[in-house]
Amino acid sequence: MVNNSVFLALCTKELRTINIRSLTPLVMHWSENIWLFNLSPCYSYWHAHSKSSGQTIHEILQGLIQRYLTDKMYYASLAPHPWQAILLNNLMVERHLHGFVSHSSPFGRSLYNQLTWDAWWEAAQQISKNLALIYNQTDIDSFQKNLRRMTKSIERLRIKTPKSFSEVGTNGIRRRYGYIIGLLWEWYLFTPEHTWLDELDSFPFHNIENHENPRCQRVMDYSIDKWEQIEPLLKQDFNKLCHHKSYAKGFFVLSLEWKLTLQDLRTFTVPITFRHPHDLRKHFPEQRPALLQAYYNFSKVSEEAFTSYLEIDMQPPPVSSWSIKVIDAMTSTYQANHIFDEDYKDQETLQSIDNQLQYPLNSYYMGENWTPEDCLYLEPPHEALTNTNHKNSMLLANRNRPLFIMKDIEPLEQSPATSSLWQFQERIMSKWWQSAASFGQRDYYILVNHKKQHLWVFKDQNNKWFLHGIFG
Amino acid sequence: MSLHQFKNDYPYIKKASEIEPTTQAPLTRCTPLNRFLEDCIHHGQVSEWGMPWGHTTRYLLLLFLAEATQRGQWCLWLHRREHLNIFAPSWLSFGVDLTKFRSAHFDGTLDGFRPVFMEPFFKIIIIDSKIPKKELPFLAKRARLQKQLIFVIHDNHISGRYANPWAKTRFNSWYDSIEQRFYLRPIKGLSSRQLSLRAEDIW
Repeated sequence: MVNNSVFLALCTKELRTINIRSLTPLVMHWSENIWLFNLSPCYSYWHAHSKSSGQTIHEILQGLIQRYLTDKMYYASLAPHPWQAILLNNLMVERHLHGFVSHSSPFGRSLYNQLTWDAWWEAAQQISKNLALIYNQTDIDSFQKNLRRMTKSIERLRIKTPKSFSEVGTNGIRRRYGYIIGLLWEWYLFTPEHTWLDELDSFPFHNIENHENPRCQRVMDYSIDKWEQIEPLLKQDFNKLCHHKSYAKGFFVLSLEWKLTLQDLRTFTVPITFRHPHDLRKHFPEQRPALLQAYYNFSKVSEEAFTSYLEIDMQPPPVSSWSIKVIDAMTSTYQANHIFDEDYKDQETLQSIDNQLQYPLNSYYMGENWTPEDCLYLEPPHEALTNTNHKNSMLLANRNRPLFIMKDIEPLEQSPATSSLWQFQERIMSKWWQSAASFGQRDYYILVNHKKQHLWVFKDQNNKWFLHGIFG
Repeated sequence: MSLHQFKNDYPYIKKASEIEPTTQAPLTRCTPLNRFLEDCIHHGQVSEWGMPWGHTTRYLLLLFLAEATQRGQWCLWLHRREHLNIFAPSWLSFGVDLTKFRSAHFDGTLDGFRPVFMEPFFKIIIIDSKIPKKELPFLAKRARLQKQLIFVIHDNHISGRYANPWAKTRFNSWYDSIEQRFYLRPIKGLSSRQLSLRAEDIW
């Protein structure tokens, strides 16, 4: 399954900080002139707008950037990984290519393949200044040393571009030039088909803190300890927040921090997060989504926080005060006419329902890929599957595939008896060039087990059997 | 007052025999299944289905989803299997419009999903798991008020011995892999009968 992530690198001399959170609440000042935006949490929001306005999401972003910048000579690059957005941006600056380039467009892909070592070294120098967020000084010194060694080797070997060096895999680079350069190389070669959330954790992204975000505080006149007592007071505070002086029009909240102090002065923090940008003012005075998210997280966090009291048969002390602070918020001034747009209304209702649920509602998109695990997207793919003959053949192929697939392919303990193999289904080739632990060629069968369950199993080229799905 | 005069004075009052039957558009495109169900399944009710896990019978419910999503109605599938993902490309190939379809994983209680049932947004909701009995009155009430069709799937065949007053219809279904036929038998809501469908009619 493919998770979509979107990062925008913007190089400009004049960025009005007042508009810095117009696209997303997650913004980092990467280097002197480069700003890095993590668009992933707001992607569904912009996608809904793009769908109803008939524009592509890239066109919408481009329009917004042009509106917010006084300087029209900007370089903007969009990519699924922040490192790729930075690399592409450096190349654009090097070639004086003003404007907006998406890594997923044919032009963007071609440009990315032409990446020069100068752009790569420049990006590596930029990241070295941000590494202190995650790594200690010894690691950073060793990274600088290895970077110099790598520069010399590349000059000596006369390798013209990073692309022509890409055959040296991540492991090879890591072995020669250390862990951090290995990571940079992995990010450079990154494709969205990889599972990569862990890798993002090691990327030094630091959100600029906004000290002007709405906040409020409450000290209890009497002690309270039950949700029924907490809820009305919390509702009042959410309503107070949405009338705060810094809560402007178009203000959308993505996360809040609710810090509770108990009577024994111990504190615990309950994060209140929304899956889609949420306008507290729109839900005045009921504040149902915010209260529900607060309830789900309060139940979870308080259970952990109160364990130490319950272990010694002690009643947890009541809440004596709390503070609520908006952590991540964006100010969208995007205006579109959606009055008669039923589809946009549906998307709005759907996002509002999703913001009220404990678990997310998953949407699905089909991508152009032959391996079952890579043709399933949870977010709209950058490139939509067009109505081609290819799409029809993909649909036909998927008709023989099961309704449910395993999140992780499981090995079958015993080879299935031939009699229980009901039907040969298809033969596909794994992407052996992406991972050493690939299955190679896969022959798929329907296996009917002793419980009469129809399982979707495959045999790899080493004659090992794996369970990949279940026909519902 | 003569009957004729009464009819003229009160045109909106009709004799029971004159009331036209409420017709609803067929819920699936499978004519034998529609004929078998005789419109006993409606929006506004809870329907309970016994579908042993992995026996391929969930394809029957895909027929309902395909028809509804293609008409622009939103559908939701709730399931409890954490180790599995819905393989949406396969659902798409059976006619389910993925733009109108959502799914979610839930922990067996509907506590975290009540907002879904408080809005008439999703027209068909399929709960692919046994749920606590205390939830059924809530589901039946919400379905009735909001004209939603809620299916509750059990991973085993259901018995007629323990009645469920909140479900208007109850069915058991199974698949014979040798004859390659689907079977459907009502437990409640229809007279005793059995439907046999060829697999190729569904696949």
